[in-house]
Amino acid sequence: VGLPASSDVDVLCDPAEFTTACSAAEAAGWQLYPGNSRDSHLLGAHATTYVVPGWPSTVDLHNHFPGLLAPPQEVFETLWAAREEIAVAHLPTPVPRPSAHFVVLAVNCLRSTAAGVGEQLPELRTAWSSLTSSERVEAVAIARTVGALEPLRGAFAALGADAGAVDPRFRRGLRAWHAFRADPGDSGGAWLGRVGSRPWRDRPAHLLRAVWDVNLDHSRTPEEWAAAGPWGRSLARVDRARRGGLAVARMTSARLRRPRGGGMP
Amino acid sequence: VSSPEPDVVATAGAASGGPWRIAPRVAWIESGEEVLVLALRAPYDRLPYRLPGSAALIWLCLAEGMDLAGLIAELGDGQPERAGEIEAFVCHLEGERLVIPLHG
Repeated sequence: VGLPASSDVDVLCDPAEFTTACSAAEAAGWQLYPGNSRDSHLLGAHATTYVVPGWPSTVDLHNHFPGLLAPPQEVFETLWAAREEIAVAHLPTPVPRPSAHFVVLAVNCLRSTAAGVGEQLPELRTAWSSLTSSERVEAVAIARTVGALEPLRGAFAALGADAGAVDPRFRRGLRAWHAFRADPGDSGGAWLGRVGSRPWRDRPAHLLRAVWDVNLDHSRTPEEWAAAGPWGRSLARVDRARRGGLAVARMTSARLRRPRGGGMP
Repeated sequence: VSSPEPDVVATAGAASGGPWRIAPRVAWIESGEEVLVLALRAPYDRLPYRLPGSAALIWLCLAEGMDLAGLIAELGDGQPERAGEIEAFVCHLEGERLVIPLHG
């Protein structure tokens, strides 16, 4: 039972217990979204998607949220410590309290839009205006703890909040965040970011999965996947390899053109 | 949410007389003139119920802890057959473990 506009349910799981959460979902009869696998999080995917047979919405089991650049376990511990209980469809549900929820909402708003905050500013402003002054201070503090301060620095500035000193941590994650936001629809770029974040010895296997797991980025619906057949799936994988090659070319070209130290929106 | 409506055919036995409460792990919302109800328990193979009209009113009264006599007085319009339908519907909800006795 969800609000009319909901298309999925996002559940943040304790990363240390992520496989337990997956097992519980499967024991309850939930099915992996085609192309997902229970080790998706090991490939850098932030969620593993399940479908409940007959239900229109999917359920994303998150081990992490993009844009929260601190290690996933630290992020979870922070958000869990900052939880409160609300009633969702009359059932008690733990959720981040408003200050922490703002941080999660903000990175989620910004991650799928190109650099800058203008397009998302009205939504962020509405959420920000619902916070008390102490909650706003806490939101900035939580953003710093979970590594979202630099991803949200522009948003905080636009909202008139003082984000404080630059957080020098998580430089690689911040680069990947900016690269993804530069072209949010570029799944090839997202995969390259994932591959690049892994040790060299793991990268060949990741590249293979990048081509093989056509559905990991939800580029196919379950219905499309089921209807594709072996030939359609092969074509999809060839196309994915082609797009990956183009993504490498684009990122290499952009890196050569970008002045050193630049790129902060 | 696409869903079957509950079968309101009378089932064997009578409702316990109430009052009732909504069973644990049953999610429900009001949506316009309807109430949508979903049992969140294994094996998760049930689709949500859509309760329209008087079924929604009965549900809301049950959620407030009303007993069978109260339901019939409130919604029965003084008609015996209407009282029977209400009792059958509550029986159905109990059978589906969507509502349980308040002090059960």
